[in-house]
Amino acid sequence: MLSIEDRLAIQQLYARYCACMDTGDMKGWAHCFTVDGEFVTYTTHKGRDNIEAYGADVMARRQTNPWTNGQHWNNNLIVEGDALRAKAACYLVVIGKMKDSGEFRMVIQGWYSDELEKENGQWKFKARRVAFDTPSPDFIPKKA
Amino acid sequence: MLSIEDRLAIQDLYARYCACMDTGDIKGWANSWTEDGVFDSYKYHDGRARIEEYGRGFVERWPQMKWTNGQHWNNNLIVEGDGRMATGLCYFVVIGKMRDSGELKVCVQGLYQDDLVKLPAGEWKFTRRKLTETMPGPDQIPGKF
Repeated sequence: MLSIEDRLAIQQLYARYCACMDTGDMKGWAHCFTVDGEFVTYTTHKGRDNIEAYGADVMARRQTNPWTNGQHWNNNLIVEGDALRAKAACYLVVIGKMKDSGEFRMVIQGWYSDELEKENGQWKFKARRVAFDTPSPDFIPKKA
Repeated sequence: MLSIEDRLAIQDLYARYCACMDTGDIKGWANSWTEDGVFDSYKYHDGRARIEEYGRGFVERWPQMKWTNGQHWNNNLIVEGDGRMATGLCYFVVIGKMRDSGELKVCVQGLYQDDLVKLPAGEWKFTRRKLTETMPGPDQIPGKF
């Protein structure tokens, strides 16, 4: 079973992931993954170095987005695991300010399905998959 | 007073409620209530079996809705209680993708007012969940300073 400390550390990882991505700290963002971590989004990226390279690419393409000030928001975090490994799921929306109208809009919606591991005492994503349409109920980690 | 473990378990119940509903796991969703639980939502649903039946009907109506990919988002969860019972309140919105335009919009807005109980096995469940679309009076907020 997850200790309270582990649960809170995992919550911090989720928050840090969003903050690093949205402020453009792609090194910090990539360090949310284990060295051999995997990120499956529109495309698949294996290994922290490749994930960081993908992140840099996302940053470079940011100028072409119709929105600015993107913020990743998570909700409904469900985590099950032990002191070393965990499975987790959460919701995602990205809220941005439209470049043409200045309106705030939800521009991306998703579901994260995650495997986590403690690496050198720190919780990291071993595998992170994003779904952009409603997933099956298997998305929800089984209760320990 | 609620222990940290109880508080986290209750937070987990709130998150699972949303995830079960939104992925169509209606058995899991109905399991958020005790066997004799009540869901007061537009209509009154009395007992887990009736709640499950209502949930199945709800999911069957999804294709007729103006949006797809519905996500229940909760916020401002306030819980007061002891090791056996609790009262909860939280905000919610449903975010969905409009079928015509593909835009993401807030499709439903509301508030949950809940009574919870801890079963002998240690699991927290709703005994009563009331959904309203308008804000209640300040006396409805669990606990007081």
